[in-house]
Amino acid sequence: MIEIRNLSKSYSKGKVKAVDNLNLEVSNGEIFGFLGPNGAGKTTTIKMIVGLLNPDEGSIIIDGTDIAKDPIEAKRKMGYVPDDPNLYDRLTGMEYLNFMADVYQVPLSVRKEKIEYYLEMFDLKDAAFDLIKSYSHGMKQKIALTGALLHDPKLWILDEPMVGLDPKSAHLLKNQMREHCDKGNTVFFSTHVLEVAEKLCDRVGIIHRGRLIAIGTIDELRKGDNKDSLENIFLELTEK
Amino acid sequence: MKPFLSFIKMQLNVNYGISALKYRFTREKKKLWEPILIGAGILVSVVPLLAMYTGLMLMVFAGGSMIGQPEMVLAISFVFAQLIILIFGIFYIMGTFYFSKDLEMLVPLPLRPYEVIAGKFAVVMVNEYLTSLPLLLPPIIIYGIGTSQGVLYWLKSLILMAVVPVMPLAIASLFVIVLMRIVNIGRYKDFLAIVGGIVLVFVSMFVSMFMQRMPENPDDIQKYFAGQAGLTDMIGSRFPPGIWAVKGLYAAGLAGFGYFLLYIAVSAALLMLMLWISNHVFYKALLSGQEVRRKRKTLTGSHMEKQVSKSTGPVLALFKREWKLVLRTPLYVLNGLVGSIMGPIFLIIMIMVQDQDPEVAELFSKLAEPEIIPYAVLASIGIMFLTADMNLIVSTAVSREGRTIWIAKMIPVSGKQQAAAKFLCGYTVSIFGVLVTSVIVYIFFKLPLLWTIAAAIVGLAGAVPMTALSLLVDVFHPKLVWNNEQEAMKQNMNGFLGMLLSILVTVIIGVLAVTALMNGIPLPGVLAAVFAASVILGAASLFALFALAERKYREMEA
Repeated sequence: MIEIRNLSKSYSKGKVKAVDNLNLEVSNGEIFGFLGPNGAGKTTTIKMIVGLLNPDEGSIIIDGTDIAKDPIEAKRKMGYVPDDPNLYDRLTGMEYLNFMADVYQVPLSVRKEKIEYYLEMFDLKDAAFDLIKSYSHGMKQKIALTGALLHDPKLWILDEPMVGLDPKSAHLLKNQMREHCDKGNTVFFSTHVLEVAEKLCDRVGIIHRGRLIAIGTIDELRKGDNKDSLENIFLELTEK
Repeated sequence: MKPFLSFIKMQLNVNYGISALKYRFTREKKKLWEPILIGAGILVSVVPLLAMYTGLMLMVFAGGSMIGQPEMVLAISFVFAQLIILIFGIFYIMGTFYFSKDLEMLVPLPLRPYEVIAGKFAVVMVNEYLTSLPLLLPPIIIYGIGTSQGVLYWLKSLILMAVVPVMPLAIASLFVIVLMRIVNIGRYKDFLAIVGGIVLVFVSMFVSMFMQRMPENPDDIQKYFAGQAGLTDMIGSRFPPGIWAVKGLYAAGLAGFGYFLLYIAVSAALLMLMLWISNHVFYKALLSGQEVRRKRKTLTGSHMEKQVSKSTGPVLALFKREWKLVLRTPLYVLNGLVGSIMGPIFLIIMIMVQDQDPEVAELFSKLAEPEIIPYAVLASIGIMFLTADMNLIVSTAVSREGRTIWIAKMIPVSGKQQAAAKFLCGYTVSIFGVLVTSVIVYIFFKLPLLWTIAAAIVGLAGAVPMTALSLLVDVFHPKLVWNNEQEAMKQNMNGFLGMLLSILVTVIIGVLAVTALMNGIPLPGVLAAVFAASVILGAASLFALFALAERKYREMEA
C-alpha cells in the first residue's frame, strides 16, 4: 500500500536533516505504528506521504500511484488527520463534513450513512450544527477524523490520533482501525503512546534523528525476549 | 514599564514579521528573489502614483502662492491625511482591538487592559505611517523648499509626521471602544459590529464633508480669495485641532510654537483619554465577544436527511465554502466587501452633499449633454473597473486560508480548480460592484439606459482581468502565517499589490480610451476596443493564473 524509497527532507538549507534516506513498505491489511521521540521526523514523514511537504529526494508510492506524479489520484486513496487539526472555525461541523464529502465526490446515499454513523459513534450529533469555533480540541479531532473517513479511503494516515480524545472515543477509534484493516485496508499512524502501539500494531517502525532505526513486529523487536517491553526497546534504541 | 515595553516590541515584531524577515534574509537566501521582486513591484507601481500626487501638490502650492497662501498645500494635505487615517482607522482598530487571535493569549498575561490596547495601538500607528508619510512628505518638502524654511521647520515637521496618526486614531479608537461596548451583547454581535462599523464610517464621512465644504456665502468666498480669512482658518473653524498642526508648522515665532505644542498636547490628551476609557471597558466587551453560542440542537433522522447536502463538484464546494467563510467573518465583510461595494455608495453621498452647490448641480446636468456623454460613459466604466481593482476578497483569497492551508493541500482537488473557485468568488464581488455603479450612474448621473447597459457589459468584461490579476499576486506569494484576520486582509501586501497592479492596467486602458475618443473615434468604437482588450487580457490573465496555481499549489508546503 505504501512504498517509500530513499526519502529525504531537510530544513534550513540542508543543515537539519528531518528525514534521512528513509525506506519503508507497508502492506495491505496492516496497522503500522510509527514511533519516535519528539522531533525525530515522524510528522515530516507523514506530511510528505500525504503531499503537504515536498521531499528533497526519494519517492512515495500509494497503492501503485506516485504522489509526485499524480497527486490527485494518490490523495483520493488516503484519508489524513493531522495531530493538531486547524479547521474552518466559521463553518459548522455539518458544513465541514458536506464540504469534505463534496471534494472527495462522495455520493449522497453514502455520505448520509457515513455522516450519521460517525457522528453517532463520536457522540457529535448534538454539536454538528454548532460552529467549529466552539468545539474543544477533542471534538475538532473527531470531526476531522469523520471528514477524513467519509470517502472510505483504502489508507488512513493518522498523526497522533489518540491525543485529545477521551477514553471512549480513543477506544472506538482503535476498534475502527482494526476493522478497517481486517477488510484489507491499511492504517499508518504515529504515536507516543507505546502501549497503544504494542496492542494495536501489526508492525512498528522506530524513527530517530530522521533515520529508521528499527522495523518489524513487536516480537521481532523483542528479539525473542518476551519480558522486554516496547518501552524498554524504545528507550534502548533511541538513547544510543 | 519593562514588561509593557517588551510587549510593544513583541507586538511590532509579530505584526510586521521582523523575525520572519530576518530568517528570510539570513537563512533562505535561495528564495530572496521573491521579496526583492515584490519590493520592485511596489516601487514600480508606487512611484508613478507618488509622482502624480507630488505634481498635484506642486500645483496647489503654486496656486496658493498666487493668492498669498502658500500654506494651503500643508492645510489640504494634513487635513486629508488625518481624514483618511480616521475613516480607514475605524475598521482597522476594530479588527486589531477586538478580533485578533492573539487576544486569547494576551488576556491571561499580567498586563492591564490599557497596556494591551497601547500595544495594539502602536501596531496600528506604525501601519498608518504607510498612508500618512507618502501623503505628507511631498507637501512638507514642497512648502519647505518653496518658502526657504529654516532648521526649526524641518525639525517640527519631523515630529509632526510622527505624531499625526495619533489624533485621528485615538478618535477612531474611542468610537470603536464605545461601539463595541454597546453591540457586544446577544446573538448578533458579529452582525452588529459590521453594521455599527459601517454607520461609524458613514457618520465620519458626513461630518468630514461638512467640515470641508467650501464657504457658500459669496462674501466669504471673496474674503477667502482676498486672503483676509485663509483656507486654513476656514477648515479650522469647524475642526480646530486639525489645523493646529499646520499652523504650528508655518506660523512664525512664538505663535507657531504655541500651536505646535497645543497640537501635540491635544493628541496626547486624546490618547490618554482613550487609554483611560479602554482600561475600564475593553475587557468587558472583549470577553463577551469571545463567547461562542452553541445551539446544541440534537440531530434527528429527518433533520439529518435535510442537512446532508446533495453532492456538488469540488469547484462549487470550494466556492460555497469561500463565501460562507467571508460572510461569517466581520473583518472580511468590513474590509473586503464593504471596501469594493461602498466605493460607489460613497459617490452618492458626495453627490448628495455637493448637490446643493449650484455649480456642481450644473455640472451634473451637463453630463446628459450629447458631447459629454462619451466621457461620462468612460468615467462610469472607470469607476466599475476601480471597484474590481479594490476587491480585497480576491487579492487575499489564498492568504486567508492561513493555518487551514493543509486542507487545500490534502484534498484531491487541483490547483487550477482551487484557483477557479477563488476567482469565481472574487468575480461575484466585482459583479456586484459593477451593478451598483450602473444603478448609480443611471439614477444619479442620468446616463441614458442604453449607454448604462453598454458600460455595464464592458465593466463586467474588464472585471475579469482585474480579478484574475489580483488573485495571481496572492497565488504567487500568499501570506499564510498570520495571527488575526486583520493581518490576512489589511496588513497583507498582496491586497495592496493586487490593487496597484489592476489600477495600473485600468489607468493604461483609461488613458488609451480617452485619447482615442479625443481623436475622433466614436464611442461605440472605443467601447468595442475596451471590451476586446478586456476579453483578451482576461483570457491571458486567467491562463496565467491557472498555470501558476497548478505549480504553486504543488510547491506550497503546509
